[in-house]
Amino acid sequence: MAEVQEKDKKPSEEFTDESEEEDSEEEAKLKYERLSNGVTEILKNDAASCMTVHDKFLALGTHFGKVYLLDIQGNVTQKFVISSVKINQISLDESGDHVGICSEDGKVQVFGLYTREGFHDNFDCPVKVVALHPQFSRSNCKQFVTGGNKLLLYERNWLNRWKTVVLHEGEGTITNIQWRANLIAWANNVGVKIYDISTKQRITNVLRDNVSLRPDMYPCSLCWKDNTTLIVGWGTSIKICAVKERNATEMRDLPSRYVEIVSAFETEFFISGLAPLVDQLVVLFFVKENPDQVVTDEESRARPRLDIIQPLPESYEEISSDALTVRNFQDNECRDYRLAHAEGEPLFYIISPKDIVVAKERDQDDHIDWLLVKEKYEEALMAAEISFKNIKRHDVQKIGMSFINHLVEKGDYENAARKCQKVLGKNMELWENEVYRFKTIGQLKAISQYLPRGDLRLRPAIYEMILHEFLKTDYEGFATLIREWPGELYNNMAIVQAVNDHLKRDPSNSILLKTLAELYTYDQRYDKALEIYLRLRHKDVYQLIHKHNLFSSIEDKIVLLMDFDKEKAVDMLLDNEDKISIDRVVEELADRPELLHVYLHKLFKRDHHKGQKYHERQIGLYAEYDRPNLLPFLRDSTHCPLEKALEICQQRNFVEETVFLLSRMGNCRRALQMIMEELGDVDKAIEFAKEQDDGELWDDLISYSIDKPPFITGLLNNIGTHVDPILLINRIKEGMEIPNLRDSLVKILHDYNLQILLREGCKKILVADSLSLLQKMHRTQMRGVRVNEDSICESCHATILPSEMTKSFSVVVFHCRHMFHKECLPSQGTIPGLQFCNICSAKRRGPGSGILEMKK
Amino acid sequence: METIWLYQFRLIVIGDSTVGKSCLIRRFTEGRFAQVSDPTVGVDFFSRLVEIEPGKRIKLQIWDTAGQERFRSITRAYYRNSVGGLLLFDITNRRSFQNVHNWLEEARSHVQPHSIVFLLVGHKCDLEAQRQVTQHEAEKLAGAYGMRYVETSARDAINVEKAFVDLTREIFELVRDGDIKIQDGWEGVKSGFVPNTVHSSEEVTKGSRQCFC
Repeated sequence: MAEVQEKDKKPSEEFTDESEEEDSEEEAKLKYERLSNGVTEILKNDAASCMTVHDKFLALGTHFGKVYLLDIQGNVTQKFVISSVKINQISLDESGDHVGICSEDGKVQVFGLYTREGFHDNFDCPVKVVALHPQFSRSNCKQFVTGGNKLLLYERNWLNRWKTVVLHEGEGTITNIQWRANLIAWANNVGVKIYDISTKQRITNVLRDNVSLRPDMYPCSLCWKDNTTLIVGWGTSIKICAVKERNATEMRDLPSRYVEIVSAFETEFFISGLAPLVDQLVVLFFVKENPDQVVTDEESRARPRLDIIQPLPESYEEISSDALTVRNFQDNECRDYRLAHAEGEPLFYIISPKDIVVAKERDQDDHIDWLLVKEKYEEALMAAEISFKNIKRHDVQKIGMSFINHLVEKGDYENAARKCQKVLGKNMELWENEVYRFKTIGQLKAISQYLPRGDLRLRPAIYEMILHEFLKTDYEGFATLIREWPGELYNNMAIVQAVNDHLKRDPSNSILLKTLAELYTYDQRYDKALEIYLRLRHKDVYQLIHKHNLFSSIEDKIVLLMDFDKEKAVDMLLDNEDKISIDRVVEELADRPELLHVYLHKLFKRDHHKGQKYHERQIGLYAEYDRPNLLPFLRDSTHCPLEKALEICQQRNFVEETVFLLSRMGNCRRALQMIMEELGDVDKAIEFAKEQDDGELWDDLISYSIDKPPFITGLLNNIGTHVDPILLINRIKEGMEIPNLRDSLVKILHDYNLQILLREGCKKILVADSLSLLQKMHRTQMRGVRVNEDSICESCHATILPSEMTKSFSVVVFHCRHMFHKECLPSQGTIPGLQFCNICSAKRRGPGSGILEMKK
Repeated sequence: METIWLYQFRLIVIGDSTVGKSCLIRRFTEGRFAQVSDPTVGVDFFSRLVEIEPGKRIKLQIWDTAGQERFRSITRAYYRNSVGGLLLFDITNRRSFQNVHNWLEEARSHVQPHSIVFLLVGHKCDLEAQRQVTQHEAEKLAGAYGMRYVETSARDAINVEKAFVDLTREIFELVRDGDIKIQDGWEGVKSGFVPNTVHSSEEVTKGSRQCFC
């Protein structure tokens, strides 16, 4: 249940009151406003008895017999003195031009609001209710009904006279009438009935449930949800009645329409008024507290409640429930409240004798209000941003500001600062105010990273202030800011000065130094920056050099650069070879061969040819500092002098390199000799021999190996496919012991046997292939050859068949399908009977070696 | 146009709650007596024709008011347009008799500038055994106020007719003598000869109106 917190314009009024229940977490569905202005004045001395709502105005009836027309703000536009006593009902037609009024002293007046002409009558009993035809303005709809002790239908006939028909009587006072389209629903002491004016038939009777309640104290509430749905509220029971067309087959003498109660349920409190809200119902409840206890009436009357409920067939679901503090609610009975609603808008008027309250559906502004009250600033801000076009009272920035204030109060400076970025946007003034506020609360650091640094710039003093703040307490943060902020946000000189001051106290603080270097960089004083970087041996130096093209100033610092990061320095130098020549670098590094080597090695890796004039020098450098890379270098370089290299390698006894160089120089025997003698590695020797594939080399190898049993084994095992092993075996000296000779021999024989088998297999396959191909050819040649009219002699190009088939003729057809007149073929060759195709024999001898002769 | 009544008098019945105002009116207008009845809320009214002389019929519009204090503010509006009133007390309830003075004062202060003709009624005279107010002291009080006194019983239908008719006759005489004048904007007395619809063009057909007795 929601306690309604009214925001009344006049705080002296008692509408807003103590909240006896704690604020609920659920947002109310409706908001409430007291109708004031003229209404306040009227209700001071008079009391509201009834009110009817039209789209354009309100018609208020009072206990002292006045009817006021009000605008929706409650200002009086017209006043009618109808009676001296209570106005019971005001009925308006749909156009709002005609009004029907009835009062407690039996007066009924129906007249045009603008013409003032109409019908007046006095009854001898109080008339509780009057209802105009909804289309009363039309001349053919001049009808209204009144309810006193009987239900009277007035109709104006063609003579402009009013004629009455008693629709119903005898069941007590008619307390309510609702006319919608062709249906008139009314309530008396017994129940609710509906009269169909189109068929002039009464179609239903919905009986009152709780007959123990006095009908005059707990009157019936009626409202039409649409043209066929009537909602009846009586005491604590609600019934939803649907008017339906009767199936033609069931008609007989029954009325053409009937009513079905589609929903009926009991409510907790007494119903004072009903109004439809789409598929839901708005119900005004009169609440009696402690109904079971013996207390006086005044004490038991609680505040009325306005609920939105979702009717179900046999129960209902409460959507929202608000207790309303209307003025003098302690004095009111169930029957003193009325609920009026506008047909078009979802506006609900709660009428009580001393107070009229309007309930509206809450709009986005109200939603934001509620969120703000609940301190759900984040959501409020989001809601405002989403619907910034529809909100009238709120302003995204203001909400944002209050959010920031809230966060600051909570001490969540970090988030407050973050919000600043979003909320303050490009409003420089607000930004500066905010920065000063953060300064006063000592939270400048929090806001620092959110300060605008793009298009919008605050005054440099602001940024400097923050930088100074950091400089005092947090070098790290200071450095971060300097790195992140564009240099032109603040006065560089001033900050440099400040940093220098701090450095005086702490001359070797690397963070400060580095930041200073950055500051110098912003200021384009690169020499100073470079100096600091080099002093700090900071990696950023390469970036700095590269970015600002500082190569001319580092020419004399190459050694220094190389010293603290060879890799990076070399990469940089190589990348910018066009700016710092290789020669220049080599010259600079001349005194530091190890660095020179690194440089040249990298250079060589990038390009085998660029540093060719240093290749000779490199041999020595590799030999000295990087032996593993020497051989690859020798292999890849085409520029190094081989003799020089050989000399160095021999000097240093680099066998592998020497072998490579020897073989490169064509001295294979010497190389082989080195392998065998220096390395003693038979496998490598065999490998080498295989590579060179030189008989002499094999010979040498065998000669060299012949007195070395392990070598022989190696040879026996490996040379099989390259050299005839017989050559080797023949040369083995008698009586020599060779390890594993048997196994080696067996292997050789095995290998040999395998090779023989292989060859035989191949031969078999070949023979079989040849045979099958021969057979295939033979089959092909055995076939006939078609000779027809289209065939031509390849020699004379005339048709091969004569026009007259009677004459004898001869044709020669070859296997190649070429055909000739016998006469056209050249004379037979040396071998009688053997002819060649003229065409194919010119090309090849293959096909057409046989002939096919046709004679007829 | 012939009317069935000469004048219409508006009468008001006042007095403490539970003295029997509604029952008295019911007995007079409907001829019935209800053993139990709910307290009146606000105001209710009934009408009846009374023949004071042969052919001279007066229509009485009788306003029943709530005796409870809570409804006083509403009730006040009804005094002004009344020409006569029955001031009721319960003879078995002394307090209701003592309050008669207050009721009278209240009525007189609200009826200004018009005057109102009252009749003091001692109700429930069938309950003689429980009587707390003697006839003598009631008559004395009535005399002091210059009004007549009658004792009635709605249950046994004693003097009910007489009380209303006496008051009607008294007012009729005052009207006839010109002591009470018919005035526009005051509904205490209406003349039957004056058409009671203001806009004659849309006059109501009166055929269907009949006596409610």
